[in-house]
Amino acid sequence: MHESTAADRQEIAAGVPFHTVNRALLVFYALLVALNAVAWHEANERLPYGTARTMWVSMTGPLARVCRATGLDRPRAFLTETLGSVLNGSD
Amino acid sequence: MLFPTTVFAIFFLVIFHLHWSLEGFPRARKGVLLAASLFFYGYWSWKFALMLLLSTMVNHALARQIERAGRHGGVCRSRPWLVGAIVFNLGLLGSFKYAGFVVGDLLFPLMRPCCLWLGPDAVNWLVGVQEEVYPWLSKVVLPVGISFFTFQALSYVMDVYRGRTAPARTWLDFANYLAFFPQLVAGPIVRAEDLVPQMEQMPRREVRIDAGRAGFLILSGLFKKTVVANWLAARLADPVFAWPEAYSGPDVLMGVYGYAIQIYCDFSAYSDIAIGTALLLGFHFPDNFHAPYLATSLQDFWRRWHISLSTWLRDYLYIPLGGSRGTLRRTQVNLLITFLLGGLWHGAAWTFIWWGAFHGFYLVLERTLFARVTLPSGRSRISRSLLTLVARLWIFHVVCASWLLFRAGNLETLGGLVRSLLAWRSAVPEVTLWGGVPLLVLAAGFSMQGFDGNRLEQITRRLADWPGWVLGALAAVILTIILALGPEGVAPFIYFQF
Repeated sequence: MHESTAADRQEIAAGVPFHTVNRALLVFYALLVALNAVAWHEANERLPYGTARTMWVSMTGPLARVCRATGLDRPRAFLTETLGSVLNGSD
Repeated sequence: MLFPTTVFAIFFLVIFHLHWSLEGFPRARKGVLLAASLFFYGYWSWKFALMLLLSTMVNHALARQIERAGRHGGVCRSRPWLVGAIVFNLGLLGSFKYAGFVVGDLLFPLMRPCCLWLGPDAVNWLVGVQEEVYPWLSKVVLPVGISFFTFQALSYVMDVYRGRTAPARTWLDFANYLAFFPQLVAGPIVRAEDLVPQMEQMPRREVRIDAGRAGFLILSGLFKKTVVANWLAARLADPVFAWPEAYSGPDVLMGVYGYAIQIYCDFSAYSDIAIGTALLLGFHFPDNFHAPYLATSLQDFWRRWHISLSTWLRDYLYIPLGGSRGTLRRTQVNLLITFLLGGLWHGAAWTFIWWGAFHGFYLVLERTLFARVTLPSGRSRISRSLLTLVARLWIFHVVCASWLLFRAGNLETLGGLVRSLLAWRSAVPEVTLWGGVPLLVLAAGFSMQGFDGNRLEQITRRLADWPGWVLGALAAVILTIILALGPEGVAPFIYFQF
């Protein structure tokens, strides 16, 4: 068994339990994919032809279809068209 | 593998779960962590991953020899092993990083006048040698992050020699220290005394994770890199440094400001993401940046910029040279040597050496000035604030001037930049970089310094009370906004080349 240091004790008091972090991470990944699947798929379609492109496109294609059908892609599309185009639009 | 990519996101999710689920199997857990780090590095080149593995084996064996020899026969017996370790690490770094510079920029230019003096046969011989050597040199590829892990290995063997730290208990612990993927390719350069004990003990689930800080660091790092640094590179810095003659003085100034903020956002973003991902795995790294552009002297700047490198140079070069213990002249020489070598650490090119010399000379001047002249200190709060503001503005511009040397790449571009900086009108009159959006992005990048050094600790600590799903959802929404704001594609981090 390890001895508990002062830093450990401080963390035990102030940090987040592992199961909370785990849950947060899973929700984070799921929502991130849901909100960005269409943009992700479009970026993959612009990859150079090859095995990597085929793999990524076949992986993100079904996700993008589901997200487009459910309208989950709209917040990202709206942000890209408004804020993103202000920053990245051609001069 | 780059941090802001899908591949890294998937990789990290897998490693996070493997790392924490293997808590009851420490050896397997350490093995998985090393395999993950080698996969992370080998994703770019498996040959260099093998080289990294070799470096861990040699350094660990030498450190154990240093410790054993020191225990039985004192410093005299352990010194040869230390010299061996230094030669091995500097040899590895030198052969990949400096061979081309030493041969192509030092040796051949020195040999040319000698051969001319010796006659046509010598000239023909030199031409033949150059034709043989240059194609071979051009094939040498610099392993990503070699300067970082070599310096980390050097600090380890020197600390073992000095008795500041014991050798890692097992090779696996040391290999995890040297090759740990979050900080492997662009730092921070973590000391053995900080990370080796963590690698030996491995974090436990009962010790709560500082997830609020980790999430904040990762998201702010991604914002700094994908939005601010990439935008400033594409819209301000790259165009100005590629063709300075096309721009007027104010535009070049904008380009230089752009590069100053870009390099801060780019490099500190890597450090932030590294510290954040390590925190999620239960490991703690020291801070690497502390609002560097708010420094009031150049010495203060180096206490805030790339702290892990500046403290490395202080502890393993400046102080062994004598530091500031001797005469003022000796201190000045030590400073100059330290910063010349610090410049050379960044890259094998004359501009990096000039950059190091610039910082060294300025620090010498600053030290001499501070030793002889008492600078005015305001009596009232307003005058003190005003003096601080003037000092900050001055140092920011001194650092910007040094970035000209750092980024120019060659003396020809540097000359073009200086000429354009002094010209009020540009060769292409309709070109201007000034505008609301560039100023906004510059201001956003500059103000990101406000988050350095865990200044928002109170807020990130409060996040510990929030439910996990809320934290996850909030982070996903923030990252979606960042991704929407950022341009398409991922530019590599600037410090990867070092």
